[in-house]
Amino acid sequence: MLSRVLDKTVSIGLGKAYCSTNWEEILVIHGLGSCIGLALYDPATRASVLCHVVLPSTEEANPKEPARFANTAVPWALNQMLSLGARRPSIIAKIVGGASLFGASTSLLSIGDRNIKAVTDAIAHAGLKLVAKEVGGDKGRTMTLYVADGRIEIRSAMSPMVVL
Amino acid sequence: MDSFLPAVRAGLQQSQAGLSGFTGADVKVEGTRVELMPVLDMAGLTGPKDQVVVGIYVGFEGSITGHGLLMFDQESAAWLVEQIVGSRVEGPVSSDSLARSALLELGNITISGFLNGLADWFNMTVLPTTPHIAFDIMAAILNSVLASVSVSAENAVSIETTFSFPSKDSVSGYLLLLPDHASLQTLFTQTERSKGECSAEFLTRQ
Repeated sequence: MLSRVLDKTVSIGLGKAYCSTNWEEILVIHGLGSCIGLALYDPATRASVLCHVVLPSTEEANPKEPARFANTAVPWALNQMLSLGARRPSIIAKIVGGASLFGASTSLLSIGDRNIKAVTDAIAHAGLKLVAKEVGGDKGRTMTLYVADGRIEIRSAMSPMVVL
Repeated sequence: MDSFLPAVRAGLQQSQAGLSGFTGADVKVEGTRVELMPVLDMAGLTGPKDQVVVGIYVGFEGSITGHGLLMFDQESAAWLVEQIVGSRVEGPVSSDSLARSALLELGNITISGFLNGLADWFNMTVLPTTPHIAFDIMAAILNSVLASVSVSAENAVSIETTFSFPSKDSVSGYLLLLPDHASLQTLFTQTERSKGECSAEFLTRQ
């Protein structure tokens, strides 16, 4: 049984996303630093989308990897949820990440704060409910989304696990 | 990539000179494996993604712009601190202020020295920025830097680097050079040019 569960674990890289309604699947983003893990979930259908958002925005209307940018990730993920059968009013959003591991004193490495704002703004703009977040700070996080119940576990170095 | 190796050696020689001056010991810094790889392939470079490592970051500006990152596992970091300060740290290296300072300075000297060596080799101006240190999950450290370059850079230089001390022991870490796309092109253009100049000089001597 354990190996069966492990086989259903999907690791999501920088700028990638994964969509599922399979209750056995477990979606993981390893080592979120300044990036944001954006999870959309519908409890009724178990429709789930997890995006590994890297940067706040792009000028491109149709980027090759829409999950890479906050301003395209949210509308893209919402469309994926609807095509998986989710009902818009029941979709909830949770976000994790946006840390500044090296401090926010260098402009390039303060992307974390800008990512948090961009994703939060895009979620509000889409009219989605942001029900939980674990963002900011100076620690990296590994985020795990369980399609079975929408639970999110967050593990950080030298810190207790957090559940959203 | 082979024609870039002399420039890497020149950079590491400057790192070695700087570290020997810093520690007062005869430190050897050698690149045991040098690779050009897609930036997105770097995420699993040094081991398990959830392994906690120390990363020292130094950005750079001038003729070329980008990021430098030096990473060690925790055990290697503790050993390096012992070589620098002369005593073993009790408990985690990350919670010892002297150990943090020692590693920050070691990283700063290694990366800045390497950049100065490259600048001298190619006759360019390269200005290192203020160093920063983080103790965290390896994937988080890498991703924080890769997030900044994943749009502007496609490839990066990975140098598996060995630090040897007079005790005859050594540890390895990864020195990563992540120039933006234009800067990497500049480096390779300069590499081809310097190769041509070396060949011309060789022919003249014949």
